This record gives sequence, structure tokens and C-alpha cells, in this order.
Amino acid sequence: MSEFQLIYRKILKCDMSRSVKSKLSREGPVGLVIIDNNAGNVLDEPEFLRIDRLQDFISTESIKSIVISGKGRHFSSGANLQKLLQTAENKTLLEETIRKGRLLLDFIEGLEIPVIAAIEGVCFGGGLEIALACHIRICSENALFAFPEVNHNLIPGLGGIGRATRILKGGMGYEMVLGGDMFDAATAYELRIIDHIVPKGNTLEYSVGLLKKLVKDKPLEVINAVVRAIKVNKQLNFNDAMVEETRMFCDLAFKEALRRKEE
Amino acid sequence: MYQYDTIEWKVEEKIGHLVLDQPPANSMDNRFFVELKDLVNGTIPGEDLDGILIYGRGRHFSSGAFLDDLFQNVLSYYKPYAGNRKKEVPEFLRDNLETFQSFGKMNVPVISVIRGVCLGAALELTLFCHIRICAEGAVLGLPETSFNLLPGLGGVQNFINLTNPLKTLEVVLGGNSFTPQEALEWNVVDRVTDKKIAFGYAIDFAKFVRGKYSRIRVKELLEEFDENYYLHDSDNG
Repeated sequence: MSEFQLIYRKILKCDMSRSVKSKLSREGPVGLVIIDNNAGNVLDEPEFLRIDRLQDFISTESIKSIVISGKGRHFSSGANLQKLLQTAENKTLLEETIRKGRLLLDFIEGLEIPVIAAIEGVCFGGGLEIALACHIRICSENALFAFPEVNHNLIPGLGGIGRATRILKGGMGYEMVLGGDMFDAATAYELRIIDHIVPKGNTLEYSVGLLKKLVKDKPLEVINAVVRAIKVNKQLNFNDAMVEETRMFCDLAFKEALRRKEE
Repeated sequence: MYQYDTIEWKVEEKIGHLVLDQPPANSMDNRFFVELKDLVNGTIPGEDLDGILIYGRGRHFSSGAFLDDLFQNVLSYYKPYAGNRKKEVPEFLRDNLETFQSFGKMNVPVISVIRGVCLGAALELTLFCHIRICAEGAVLGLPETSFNLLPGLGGVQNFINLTNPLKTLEVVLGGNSFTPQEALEWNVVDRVTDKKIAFGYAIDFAKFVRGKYSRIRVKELLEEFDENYYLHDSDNG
């Protein structure tokens, strides 16, 4: 039995009848999205949270940053394979399901407030795709990562290949997807998928504490500009990213100059 | 003779010295940026150089951009477009960015010696250098967000590439200054030395890499150099 199967079996020894849920809550200016579906946080559907629900939450609660995490010991073990294969019998339904998931991840990545994935334990497949859509990833020292899709003759379907290859230099992204191998927190840090490693059980507290401190007292327009400047680093080439950074600086400088003039 | 008011430029033994010369703060005002552009485009290409050192006159590197000049420039640039604001980057800012970028593209080692205060645009300038030697006691930071601004001269992009997105978010959004030891730990500077020897260390390194410099191998060369050089006075047995 492969390492994967062992881990899967351990995690999946639970009731899988409930559909995926995520809980929204807040701590000051930090919004918490907690994936909550049994011990392994299996994703019955890729759209683990409705976009309009997330959007309402951010605007009505004046959320200035977000942490996405999994309830309990694991972030998420990825898609519910049985359910996925069932859905796949109807091609239109499958396409629609996947499309919704992609849209959600694109929406999360597109947010202009900082989004941190706080990753404990297992972060596989669809779970890893969610994590890669976040702007920053903090994990526990016992975290495990993989794209196991190839082991089931599948590929990551929510934009994970594109995101992995953008973050990982020198073809390591392809190796990760094609190899389907599991790697640990230290390796993920070396590969620059992970920004920071904290002791087991501390990722959520650490991420929330950090964001609270950083976004407190900061105007939303400044937070938005910093997040955009960080994101363009992966989206544009180095030179274009710099020009974009300077352009954002100009917008802020103009507003600030006007404010100072009026005072 | 080079006629600059805000910069001293001299060449000694084929090493160019670019000194930010408005002590004590060596503030980067309008005149400085104009003169730096002229130095980069007009003077440096005509020199026969083996390396360039960038540092500040006196105790500090520089406190960064002079904000009064900056806001004045931005206001006068946008004035004709009031109500219908142009989206392009003003020419003076594009110039400043290109001037900074030129240092990174030079094919001789460009080494900054960071002593005392090095904040905002000043740190951004050093981030384009190939090597950063930092003296103990230096104060580094990107405090722009404290003024509702952003590091607009490549600071965010260079910082991400040297560290990672999280560290960049912490430093840029937090706006707090950091120590040479932190900078070394985060890969923002290459060496931290005793205050007294930072300058000598940088010059000796520039001489050491004469003729064998390659941008890709620069960190390797620094290692090689260290094997023959003591970092701290106190370490000298």
C-alpha cells in the first residue's frame, strides 16, 4: 500500500455523507474561512464556499485580511474521489462543478486584501490548489503536500498546475504535478511554496496574530496597493512588475499630496 | 571635474565611488535624482571601471526620498489632468526607476555600503546593487506605508525576490525598521561587518574581484573572498 493510500485511509475513516462546509468568522479585521468537513476536510465539491457569501462577508464585516484554514488536524486532503467520479458520468455537470471551483479560487487570488493559507497536516490535491490560490502560505512543521491526481490518472483541475509552475522555478512545478510525490514542510519551504513554518497546531493563531498587527490602522487603499504589488511579482515579468509598482505608488502619492495640500 | 552638488563621484584605482553627499541625512531630493541620472547616463559610461561603491557621506547612508519634493512633483504633473487623471507613470518617476535599474544591469560589481540610516528609496537603491555590505548598528526599512505610500522604485519586487511574499508583506505593510542581523537572516544584505571595517571590506572585495567578476558568480566570489579576509576586527587573532 502506498504512502498516500495509508494516509488517505487514516483520514477518510469517517462519515463522508455530509457535503463540504466552511465556516466564516472574524477576529477584528481578520476574516477566518475554516474548511470544515470531517477529519480530513475532504472537498465534496471544488466550490467549498460560495463566492457571493465570501464577498458579502468581506464587505459587510469590513474585513481587511483573510486566513483560510482547515478545521482540526488537516488543511484538506483534496477532492472526494468517489463523488468526483460519480459526477464525471455527466460531463456537463462535471464541467460546471469544476468551473465553479476555478472561479472561487480565481476570486480568492484576485482579492486585494492579504489572504494567508494556514496549513496544518495534510494539504493534497484540491486542498493544495486552494492553498496556492492564497497570497501567502504558512504551514506547521508536520505539514504534507502533494498533487496525487496523476496516481488516479487525473490532473489538478482548478488552476493548480499554472499556479505551481509560476511559483516553482526550474520546472519543479511540473515535477510536482507529474511525479505526484508527497513532500514535507521543509521541502515546500525550500521550493518557496511555503513562506514560513511554525510549530504544529500554531498556524491559525500565528497567521491571525500577524495579520491583525499588520492591517490594524492601515487604510484599505494602502493595504490593497501592497497586496497588488506583491501579486504582480508572480503575474508579470520583473521589469513590468516594477513599472506597475511605480504606477501604484503614483496613485497613492497623488491622493496623499492632495490630502496634504488641503490640510 | 564632475559638477554635482548632491553627489560626489570619484574614481580611485579604477573603482568608482558614488557618495550621497548631503549630510547628515543625504536626503534624495529632486536635484539628487537629476544628478544621479546624469551620472549614470552621462558620466559612468565614459569611465574605465572595475567596480562601483555606493555609500553615504558621514554617519548615514540616506534617509530616502525628500517627500516635499515628491508631493510637489506629483501635484504639478497631474494638475493639467485634474478630474481626468492620466494613468501613465510620470516621467520623473519612470526616470528614477530606470536610473536605479541601471545599477543592477552594470557589468562591473556594484556594491553598496550601508552605514547608519538607510530607509525607503535609499534601501530601494541598494536593493539594485549586486552586493550589500551592512555595518553593525545600521537602521534599515521601507517605511512608505506609514505615509500612506508604497515603495515605488522596485522595492517590493526586489524584496520579494530576496526574501518571500510573507516577509515582504510584514516589512512593507508593517513599515517598521529592521536590524542588520535581521537583514542578513532574511537575505536582504550579504554581509554584516563591524562599523569600522565595512567600507574597507567593500573596497577590498571590489579589488579582489577585479578581472574575474561575473554577476551570476558574485555570491560565490564573496565566499572566496571571505576565506582570505577577517570579517571582524575582534576575530583577528
